[in-house]
Amino acid sequence: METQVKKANKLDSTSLIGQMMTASFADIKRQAAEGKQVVWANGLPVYVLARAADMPVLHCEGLVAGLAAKRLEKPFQDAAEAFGFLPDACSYARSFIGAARITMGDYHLDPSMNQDLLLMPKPALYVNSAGGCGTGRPWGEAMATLFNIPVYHFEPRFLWNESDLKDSVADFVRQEQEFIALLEKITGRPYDWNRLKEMLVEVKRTVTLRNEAMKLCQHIPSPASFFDWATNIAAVAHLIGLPGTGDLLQKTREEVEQRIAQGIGAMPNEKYRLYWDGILTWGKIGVLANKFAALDACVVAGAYTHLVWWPRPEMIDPEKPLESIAYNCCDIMLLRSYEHRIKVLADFCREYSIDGLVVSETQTCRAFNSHAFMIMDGLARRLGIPAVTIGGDSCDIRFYSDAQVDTRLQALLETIEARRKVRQV
Amino acid sequence: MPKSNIKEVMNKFREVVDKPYEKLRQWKKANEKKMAGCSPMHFPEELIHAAGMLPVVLQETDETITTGFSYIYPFFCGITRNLIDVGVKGQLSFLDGLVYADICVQNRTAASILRQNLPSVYVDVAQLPSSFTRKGVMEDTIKELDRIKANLEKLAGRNIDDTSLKQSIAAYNKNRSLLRRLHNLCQKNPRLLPYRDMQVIVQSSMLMPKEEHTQLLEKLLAEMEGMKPASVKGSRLFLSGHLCQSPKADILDLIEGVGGIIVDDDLYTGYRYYAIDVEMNGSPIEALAKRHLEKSLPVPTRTGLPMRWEKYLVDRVKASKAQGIVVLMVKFCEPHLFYYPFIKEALTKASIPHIMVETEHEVVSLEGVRTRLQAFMEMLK
Ligand code: SF4
Ligand code: SF4
Repeated sequence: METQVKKANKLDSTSLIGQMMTASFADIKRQAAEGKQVVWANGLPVYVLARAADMPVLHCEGLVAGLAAKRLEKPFQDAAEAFGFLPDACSYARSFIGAARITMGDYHLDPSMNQDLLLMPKPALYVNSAGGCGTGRPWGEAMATLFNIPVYHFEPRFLWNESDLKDSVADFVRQEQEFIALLEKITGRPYDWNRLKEMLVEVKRTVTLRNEAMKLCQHIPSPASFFDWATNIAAVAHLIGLPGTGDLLQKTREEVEQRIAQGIGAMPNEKYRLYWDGILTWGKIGVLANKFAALDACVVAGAYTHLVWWPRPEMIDPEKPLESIAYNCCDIMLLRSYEHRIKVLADFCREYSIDGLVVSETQTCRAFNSHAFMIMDGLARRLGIPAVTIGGDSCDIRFYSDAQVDTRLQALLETIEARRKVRQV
Repeated sequence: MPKSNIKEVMNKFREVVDKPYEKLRQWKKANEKKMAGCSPMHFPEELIHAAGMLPVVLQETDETITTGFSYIYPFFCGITRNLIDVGVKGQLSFLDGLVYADICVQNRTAASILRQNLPSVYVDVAQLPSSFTRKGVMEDTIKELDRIKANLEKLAGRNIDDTSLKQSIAAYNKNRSLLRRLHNLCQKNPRLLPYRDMQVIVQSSMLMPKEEHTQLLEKLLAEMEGMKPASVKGSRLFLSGHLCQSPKADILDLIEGVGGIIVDDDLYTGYRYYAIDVEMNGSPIEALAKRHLEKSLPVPTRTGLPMRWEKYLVDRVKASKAQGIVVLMVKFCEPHLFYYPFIKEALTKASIPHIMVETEHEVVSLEGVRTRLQAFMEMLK
């Protein structure tokens, strides 16, 4: 008898993301060809400010993650290594610096490669807003040097104390104002505040719908998984502010509600509910989703998907655009103290009925790995939730090993099982 | 001062560098004085000094990392892992305070983990602006320095007034100027000291009471300035990189052992530490802020500096008449990782031969490095 291989039941609506990304990339290239000044940006979505100034924006991590998910990132990394980059450097940054070398003609793609997909339009401005991760600094400086263009570095403050947020937001607003002055200088046009306000209406709708849909995954079985939400980041990152994102998330929310009504889960047989800490290895997103499905485990939430991109939708007021963006860039998990993180995570684990924690070592990203062991330890102490680390990286596939992931996940599920048995006694 | 006195001074320096935390613990007990550790690179030690406490710049020690691995991944840089390890083992608990200046995400992680795990130590982080072209950067730096100053006053139980801060700045400027004198002397007369000793002198300056270090350094200089140039054979080298921590002595010995004559550097535990003084006129906090925002020496952890590190290096190497450059890179040091390709390209364009050596906290076999260095030196001949 043939055994049925269990597979993740992906949200249909997330498949639209790929089409939107392709269309947006083609559109950016078209606009660049028409003479519009392109912006390259990393990190948090404060670059929406440039989009409102009618500058097409390429979000580096978004594009690399998309390419890595299709296993197309390697030429970028080869170009960076040929330039002298060592594999220890952040692979998002490394890949995009490789992309920059290719764009500048300093590294030539093999003619058999898809030039259309791998050749980027040259930027007129670089924006670094790496969420307080210092890596964004030399990354932004590198880009500015390679293209001989201006760079703006956003510096949100690390929130050591709960009371620091207000000051941090005020400080960030000052930076946004300075950035807008720079945009005006570069474009030679007065800033389009109305366009920004309109954009924020769409942003608020999109991120609110996304957050609501993600919250619905507290339902058992979970109607969607972390891997759906990871794919979906593009809607609130690379595509943010563009038309159609709100409608897309409306569809996603409806699909999630429908699944709940019909009792359909993201995994065919959800026995374990897990939380994901760290970034994921994009090149393995499909493999990972199916691996969990085969193990009857559903990763229902994660820090990268839930606590970084627009974590404060309720603070978005299109009439106060700068404050709205500031709150959503300053109050992210990466900028929060350990005390705050562990409290939020413990609440999360309760709300989402989490049985275990998967800590994905993102080998070239120290920011997302900074408190991994303390978080594992803290949650074990508070809630008795077991955890496991698995190797990997955001987009350097060399750091990932299937065999290691299999063994570690097996061990985690056995621990959860043992814990359940003890509870029953 | 006879040669035996040089040895004596060097031994005093070496004593504190060899086992810094043990020695400092003893010193604290004997002197009944408060002591605050600070992170390397960007924290103005003068503030701690002016509060009447002993400032010590945190150093990487040789300790094997054990307990620390339960707190941090192995792909963090050596000094980060080492400090977390010695911290969670309780070896830093004798400090009254631990103040960081945000350098990079790794050093901030160390601050956060130590803050959580050293309940008896006051831990604070100065978020000094890193983007030097931002509007209001001077005001922001002053504001943050004022905040740190107020907290240090609380810790020390005494006010830091302008007069005492100026006195501290003067003491630090004096020490820096002596270190520069020594640097210049060794440039003119290379191999007067093995390079490992240069490192010991700078590191001890980061750990000992400044005034005591200055006195010893004056003695040493008086003696050394009268010494005849040693006749040396080999190739002149510039040593670059190694942020935050001193390169291990065996690497330095190896470079010299294969015929390298180190004539100049831009190491943190070298030229970077003493290159720039703090202005003595005007408000001392403002002067410290100005030093933080100084743009003449490119720092890869900061942005908006007018000169890139690679361009600066090419100029410095040419000025020092070095025949080649050894780039020492702390493994996993991101700020350096992002500059290295540019450095490599610029050096190649300027026809300056270079070799890059990655260094690790863990003891690794140097045989491979020796072979590469030997080949490099052959090429320079
Ligand atoms: S190291 Fe991590 S947080 Fe920092 S820029 Fe890279 S991916 Fe982002
Ligand atoms: S600058 Fe480099 S050596 Fe210093 S803490 Fe950061 S990663 Fe480590």
